[in-house]
Amino acid sequence: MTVILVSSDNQDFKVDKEVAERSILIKNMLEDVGESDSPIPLPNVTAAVLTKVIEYCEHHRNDPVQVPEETDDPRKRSNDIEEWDMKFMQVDHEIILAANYLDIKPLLDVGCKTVANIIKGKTPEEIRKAFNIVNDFTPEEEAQIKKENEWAEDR
Amino acid sequence: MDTTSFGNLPPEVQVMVARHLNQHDLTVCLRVCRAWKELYLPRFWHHIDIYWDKNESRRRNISRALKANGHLIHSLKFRSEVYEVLRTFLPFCPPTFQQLTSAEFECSLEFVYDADIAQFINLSSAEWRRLVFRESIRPKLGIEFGPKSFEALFKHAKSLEIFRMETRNSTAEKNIDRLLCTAPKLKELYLSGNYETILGGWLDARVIVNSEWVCADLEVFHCRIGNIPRPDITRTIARKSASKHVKRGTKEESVGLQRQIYSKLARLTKLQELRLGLQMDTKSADYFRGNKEFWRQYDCLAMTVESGLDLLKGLKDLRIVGLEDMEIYIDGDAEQSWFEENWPNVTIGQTDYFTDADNAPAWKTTFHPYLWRHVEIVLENSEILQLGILDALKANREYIHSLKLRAEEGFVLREFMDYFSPWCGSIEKVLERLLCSATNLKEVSIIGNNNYDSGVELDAQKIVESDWVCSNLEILECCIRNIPRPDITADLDDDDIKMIASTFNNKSIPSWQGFTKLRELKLASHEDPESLRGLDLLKGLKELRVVGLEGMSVKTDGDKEQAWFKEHWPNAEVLFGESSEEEDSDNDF
Repeated sequence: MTVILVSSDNQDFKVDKEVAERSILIKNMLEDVGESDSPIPLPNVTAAVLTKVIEYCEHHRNDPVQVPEETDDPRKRSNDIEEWDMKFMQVDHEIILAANYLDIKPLLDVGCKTVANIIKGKTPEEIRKAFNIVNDFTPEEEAQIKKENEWAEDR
Repeated sequence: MDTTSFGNLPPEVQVMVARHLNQHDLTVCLRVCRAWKELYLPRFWHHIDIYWDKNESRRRNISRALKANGHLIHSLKFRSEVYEVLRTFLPFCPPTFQQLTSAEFECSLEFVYDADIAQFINLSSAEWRRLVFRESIRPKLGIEFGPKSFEALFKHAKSLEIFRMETRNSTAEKNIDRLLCTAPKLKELYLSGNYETILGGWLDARVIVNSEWVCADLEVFHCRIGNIPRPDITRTIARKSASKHVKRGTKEESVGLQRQIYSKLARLTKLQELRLGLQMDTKSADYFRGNKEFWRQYDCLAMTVESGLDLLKGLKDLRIVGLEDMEIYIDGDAEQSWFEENWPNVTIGQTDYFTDADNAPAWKTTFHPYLWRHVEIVLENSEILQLGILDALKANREYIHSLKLRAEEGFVLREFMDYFSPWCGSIEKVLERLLCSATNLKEVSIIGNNNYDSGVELDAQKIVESDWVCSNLEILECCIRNIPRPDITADLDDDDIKMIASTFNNKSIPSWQGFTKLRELKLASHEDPESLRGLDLLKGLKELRVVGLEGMSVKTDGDKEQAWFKEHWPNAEVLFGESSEEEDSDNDF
């Protein structure tokens, strides 16, 4: 069984229902309308992005639908990203936006890990450079914040 | 990834990123820009990991930060290697943590006191969900999670989900039971660490059969259940008959009680881990020779079909069943086929019957040797304190320069020795061995308690056989008994006395003559009817300054003795003690 997804720039995508339902948003919509052949409009996702998202869902169609557990224990968290996912994510922040909108938790999670891995191990200045952020602290303010939190950095 | 676009992500996604950052990364994020600081400050404080050391200025910085942001903390991890860790930390805490629901301590839990734990628990004005205590160094006594801590914890029984003590602990049986009766959301009860049931941290089968556990969601249960009669155990245990170790009771009582316990456990239908045993680590620093056999559980569930194992067949989620160091009989055909049929996917941890009384590695110490230079030990009837004292002495004898053993009023050494005899032998033996092997020993004081049975004394008949090596000994304060003294009851002629004295002295005193550095020699014990003779053999002790002979039936006032004292010990102060009448009249003032 297939469903038709329509991107914001009016392109139709014919997708297996099983694949489309990786998106909780689409899954809920399908459940709401019941049996129907009418296409599903996705006004927030461009064709370029939707292609990528569908590619991801196809690749992960057989994954168990797991809910990433909220944990406070940093040791249980893993920043490991599958190799396929890693290459896949070297694209665009729009994928993360789409994952958020379409409610595809595993994809959103991979997106967040990718961003986190960019931040990790960098100095504030390197982070600013990476994300094109303007430093609006005075040097004194920045030094003060550093001093306040030094105890949390060293071990 | 287009790196210019972080700001385009919605804030909830930006915060999600923070979940994949550790504390160090987050402190860096706080310094990127104002927007990031605002975004990440709550996330940084949500879960905080504190490493607590002795650096005062660092402590003050932590304190300042906690007082400013403590209200944001949901979860706290606390690591430290400082002794008395809570006592040093609490003064730096704000008066309350408004949202704190989870705490994990990974530190030295030695000298973590009941009142301090209670105070810490009471610091949170939220509802506790998770409390974890994990040792970073194996403690001697363990965490003191006592009545005050429990009183504080019981206020949170309704919300508590995880309670783990991965360390030696002395939690009282009745409080563990009460927690299970009052914490409906409890998912994990994990009490590990002590195999010595005298310390606590176990459940009493006879008590729990009458209680109503409410924790139907329990997934992890790790606690010993004891006090079950096991007349089926008949083998020799620690070289004694089984009756010394096994609880008394008839077979019917035993099976009846076990069935009740199985039924109780069977109601915990969500159990994934059921750990009733605890594997003793024979390599750990505090492992004493023979522990394995001595502390094995002989009052536990038998885990046999006959004892009612079948009642547990409904526990389908079980993955781990820990039965280490328990006296169980699961090798029978009936049991093996039962496990195969009902728990095919369960991993069962068990250890074989094990005796290492003769060949286990010797006791090692985690204390630095210098701590053993001057040892003063109070012997009292608290078994916890006695635990291991003798073996520890034995193991560290080469470091000991001075030793003081003081017996508290009412201390009965004989009972203590019976209790620990599997590996200790007797204190006389240990003392003996100490004197025969501790070449650095300078001071030995063993102060008895007037109780003839206290046994804190050396047996003359035995020490004559031994070869003391502590030639640097300066102070010996110990009562030496078991010398025949026919001269006290009858007036024998001098030849007989000499005969008796030399029989003893010729054998023993030569080894004493080596103690040329002895400054104090106190052989006194009150009401002691015996004493030493053959005084002349001690004339080589030129360093002597104090000789204590209080309460002994000594005959030092004879002319010969007085002259001898003057000649050989001119500088020694000889204490004879006073008669009891005089003491009484002194006490009137």
